[in-house]
Amino acid sequence: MIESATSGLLQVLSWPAFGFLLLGGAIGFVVGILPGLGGLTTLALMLPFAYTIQEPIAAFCFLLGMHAITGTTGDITSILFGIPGEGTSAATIMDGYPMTKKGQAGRALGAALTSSLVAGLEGAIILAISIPIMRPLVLFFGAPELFMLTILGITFLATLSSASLSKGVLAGGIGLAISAVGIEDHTGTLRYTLGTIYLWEGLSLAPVVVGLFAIPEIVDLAVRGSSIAGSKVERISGVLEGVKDTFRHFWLTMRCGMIGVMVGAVPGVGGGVSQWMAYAHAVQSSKDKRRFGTGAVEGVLGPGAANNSKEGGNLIPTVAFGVPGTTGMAILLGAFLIVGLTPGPDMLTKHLDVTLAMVWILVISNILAAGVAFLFLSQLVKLTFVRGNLLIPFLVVFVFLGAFSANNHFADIVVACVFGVLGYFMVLFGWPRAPFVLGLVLGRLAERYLGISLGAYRTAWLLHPPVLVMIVILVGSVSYSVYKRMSTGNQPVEGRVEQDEL
Amino acid sequence: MRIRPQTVFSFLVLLFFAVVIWAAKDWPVKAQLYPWVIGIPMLVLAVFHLVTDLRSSAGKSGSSAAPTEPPDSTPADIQFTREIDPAVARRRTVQIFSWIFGFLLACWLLGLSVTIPPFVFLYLKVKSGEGWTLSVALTGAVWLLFWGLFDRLLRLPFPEGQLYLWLGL
Repeated sequence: MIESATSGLLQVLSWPAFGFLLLGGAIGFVVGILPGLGGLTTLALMLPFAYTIQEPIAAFCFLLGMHAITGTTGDITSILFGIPGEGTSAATIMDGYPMTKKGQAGRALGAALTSSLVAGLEGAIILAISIPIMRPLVLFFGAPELFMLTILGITFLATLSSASLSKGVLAGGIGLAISAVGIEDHTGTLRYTLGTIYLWEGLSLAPVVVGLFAIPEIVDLAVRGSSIAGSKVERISGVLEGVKDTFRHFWLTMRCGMIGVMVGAVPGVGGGVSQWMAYAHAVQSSKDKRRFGTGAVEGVLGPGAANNSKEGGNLIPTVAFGVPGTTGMAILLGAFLIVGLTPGPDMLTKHLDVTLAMVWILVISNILAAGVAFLFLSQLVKLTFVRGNLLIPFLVVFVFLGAFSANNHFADIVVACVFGVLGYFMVLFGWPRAPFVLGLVLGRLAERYLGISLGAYRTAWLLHPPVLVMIVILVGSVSYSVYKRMSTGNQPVEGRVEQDEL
Repeated sequence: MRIRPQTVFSFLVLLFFAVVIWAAKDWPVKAQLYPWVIGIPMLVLAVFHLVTDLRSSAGKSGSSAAPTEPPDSTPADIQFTREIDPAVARRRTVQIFSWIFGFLLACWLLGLSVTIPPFVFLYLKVKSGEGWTLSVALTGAVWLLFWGLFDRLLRLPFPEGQLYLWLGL
């Protein structure tokens, strides 16, 4: 094992592999920062280069290095402009952008980058030691357990992210219902397609998320008529404060990193889910939940940590069983085949050095991404002091281009605008957007798992022990949430402003 | 009793779930199952939420100090700026949405590549009142980024404007 680890490291640091790592990292850095220009699209565009590179470790340096870095830098745009740099980095907006508006962009970025780095390393280490251990655990989760896991995830977020429990649950329900748009897999029925071919494939996540989150922020920026950070001046020590925050909340970072690994290791559960679950955990484990949504640093640390550590988790089923956990890993699986490797037991024996080289690639690319981002941080923070009127046309153009580049379809821009309007009213009337997005992300999966569960077990799946445990947790968390709201129902509310004037 | 805008929104949510269930009524069971499993409990919850909302509105008209929803712990999401006069905020909101949807319409009629530079320039010059130099320089920067990255490097297939198709150009 140690011999393979050393060999893997030396191969990553050798030329030209390291050069490819730097090149992939540079592309990933830019792609991650640009809103909507997805890491997945770029990964798919760059995959053919694996044919040219051919040497397995050099090819993974290029592709995996690029993929790992997009997650880290995607958080930068989310924090600075409230626009998700990546579809999977939307959860960082919830508290990262309010911190920027309070003039604490440096602190938020410092916290996001450091937690990303720490948890990215955690994910890589867990990947190295857990492949043999994770195999039975991953295989233990069948369709009924995975269905309950999706419902549990949405319910947790719905109960935690809203002032009103019903609003949270309904927002999740809207997301779940919208995920039903498109052709139904078994019968070929066209559901809610409004007579258009465009909706046959369902709604893509990227235009929906970009519109839902970016357009309300652009409207708010236009309404305020000032820069994002307003007149609030941040001390240069803000970045360092963010770094310190990571270590002040070290165990939260580690726990959220672990959530990223665990969720990432479950095949088929998308990358965005881990961030939202980590956010929900950060809220749930905090003593003062009122700060969340207004700029709580824990709300940045949690998603920041999970966003990066999930890559280690994603690699576990991909490498060990050839079952890609996410779309990104499915594309990467193509790279395995291009360079002549077959994922599976061979990767743990004959090609162990390649597997461990992938661990090193995650480690090195995370350190490089954080290092380079820190170098440019003060310049990036200055962008938040640029007048809003100068930023708005740029942001609108990027929203349009980001939405369009998801499928190269003009209708995606229309979708982004429609969901932008919906997002605006959701924020205005206090409806949480997080459960909505999670419902949309998990809806198709939930339906598939429900169909398989009913087909294979009829209703007997409800009596599976892990399912029963999850039902108990679900009922318990909802009951606790209702009880807590009822018990605090008569206390005065400070700072709540009626919204009907707007 | 005055109907508040948030109550109208709650009603639209209720209507949404009613449509989700209604539209699925003639589908095969396998296609119908999921929308109904989600839609029916959500419709019940939406009715409950609307009733609570209406009762809260009635309570509010009786006592101006009463809170509109159960106080709680966690803000729902980010919150919009409240320091601006509501009338000004409403006017600026309508303006920015007009710019966004105007841009969308122009992109559809003329194509993205043709529309981006005039949109950026007009927003900077007309809406923001910036000087000629800054407006032209920033428009050039956006165009260069768009052309270099999205057009030349990534070769995204931007569609022609609908107007050209209508005119047969």
